[in-house]
Amino acid sequence: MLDQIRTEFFKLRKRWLPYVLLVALLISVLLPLVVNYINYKSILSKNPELASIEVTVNPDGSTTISGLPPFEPDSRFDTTYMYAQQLARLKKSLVLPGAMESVFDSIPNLGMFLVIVLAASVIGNEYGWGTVRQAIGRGNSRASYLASKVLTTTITAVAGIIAVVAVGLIATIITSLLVEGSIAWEGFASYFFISLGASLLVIMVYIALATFFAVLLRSAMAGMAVAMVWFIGESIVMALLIMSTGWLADLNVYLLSYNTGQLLSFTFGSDFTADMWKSVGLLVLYSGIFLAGSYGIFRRQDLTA
Amino acid sequence: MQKDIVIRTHGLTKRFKTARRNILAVDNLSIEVPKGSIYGFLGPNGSGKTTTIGMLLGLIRPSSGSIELFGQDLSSEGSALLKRASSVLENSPTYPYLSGRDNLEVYSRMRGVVDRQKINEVLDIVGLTKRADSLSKTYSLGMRQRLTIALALLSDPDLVILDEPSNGLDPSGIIDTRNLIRQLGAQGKTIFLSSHLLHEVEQVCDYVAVLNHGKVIAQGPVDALLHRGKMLEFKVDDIDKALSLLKECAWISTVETDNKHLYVVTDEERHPDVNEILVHSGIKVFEMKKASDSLEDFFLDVVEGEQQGGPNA
Repeated sequence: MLDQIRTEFFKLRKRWLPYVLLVALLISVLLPLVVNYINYKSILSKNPELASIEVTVNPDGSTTISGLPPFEPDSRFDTTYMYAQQLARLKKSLVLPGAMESVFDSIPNLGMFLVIVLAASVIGNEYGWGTVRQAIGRGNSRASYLASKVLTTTITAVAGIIAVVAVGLIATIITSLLVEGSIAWEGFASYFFISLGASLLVIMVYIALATFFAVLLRSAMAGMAVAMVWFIGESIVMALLIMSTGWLADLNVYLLSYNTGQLLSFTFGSDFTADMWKSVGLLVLYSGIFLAGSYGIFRRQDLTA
Repeated sequence: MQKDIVIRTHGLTKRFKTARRNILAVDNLSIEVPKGSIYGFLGPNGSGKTTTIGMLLGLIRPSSGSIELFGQDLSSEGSALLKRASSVLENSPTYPYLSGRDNLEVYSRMRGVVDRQKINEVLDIVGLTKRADSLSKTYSLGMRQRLTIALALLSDPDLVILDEPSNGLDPSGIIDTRNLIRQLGAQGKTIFLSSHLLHEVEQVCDYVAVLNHGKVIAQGPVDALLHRGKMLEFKVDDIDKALSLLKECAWISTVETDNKHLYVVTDEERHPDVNEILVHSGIKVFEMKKASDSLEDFFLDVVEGEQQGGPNA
């Protein structure tokens, strides 16, 4: 099994795909920070009187803005007040702990699609190339073959996300120091690790989902497409369920998107609620079902074709 | 003394069930591949060859019957047994984004040992040393086929299963493959060769099995099936008289005619006796020579014979 995992890493590190996905994720995290910082500096240079604005993220997650110029209702367009509001929003997105929220928003949102691409191609391409036949025909057990692929994808995705979060953290520390000059660390560590854990769990579910469809459909492209259709389809179903009445309305709490959404709604200062724990349980259950289903199909699959 | 058997199937059957059809791909197949033999597995397209190889390699489960590799049951000891085997599969599956060398390294790593000297050695054997570091997606079909042959040689297997190994190869590649198969056979490895190229099979194989509609319709040593060294071809003036005369001889196993020639199968030491009987009976013998069926004739004969109502071999 260890040999197979090493082999999978050997194959993966020779591909462009993981590097492209990592760069895409890094860009999705760093680009908003850079753009926000440029905007912040631009507004400030045009409105130097707004430098005194202070934005504080309270331990309960709420934001307090102080130092705003008085609002002038008589004025048709109080541009200074508008700029002040915009500056306050930008400051929140650039200074820790608020800055980290946008990092954690980007990772699962784009990351979900990226891990679907990664997981589906790691298993699905082997069908297209016919290499799955070579591997199994050489005495590799189907269980360890599939497990090594899932583990390799998971380790790669987790390592990639941790690397991106680390880069995001360093970048937000830098922007915090540039904007604020200091960082308020109080309550940050617990928020950071819970958010990281939630992101990883959400990513894990989508790895399992993509693996399941890639195995079922014996194709990377079909696996990606159906996993994404599932993702999009669920949002539509969820919207319809919310509009309905009775027991139907309650069904959405069992959907994948609802539960990933629950976990990703965790923000600085908020509590990890019982509902969130329920979502953790359901997402673990979903992952288990998808992985068991993948193995159940792969174990009996005709690999001669 | 009975030979060691490397592959033994007993009543091997594979049935594909779909909503509309029930296809019997392999029907009660029983074959024995002796250790150290080069075993040809012949059959027209759709006869069940690839499905059988798939079952031998654990790629597909049999509907019924059993497979033994190296004397042990494949269903219980599959992974360990298959590690002693290697295969060259149809369509030359390789990783397109890896070089030939890296493709070999992938399968070395799966076994937990990366032996670079061995990788260079097998690349040299198949003549890919110069292109070893090019991506396999830039290879021609023939080169990819050579690469999969190199993969098969990498683990120094006891059993090599080859599914159409000459597909896509140019004439010199076909000759190289034939020589390689002979070389492997000379090293005592057991070769299971599925091929459409009857001429190739005839030149390298010791044993053959002919498959049609999932059933073995003939199998045995090639020499015996083709009556090599045993068949005589006569040109005589009275074929009917000669035919009825020779049919009475118990030591002659087969007497047949195509209305122009007479074919007699018997042990080599009795060949002069056949001629003597004919001459003593007043039959004029214009020509007498040793003859044998080509595998192609034999193949067409048994396949057509089976299609006309039952095996004739």
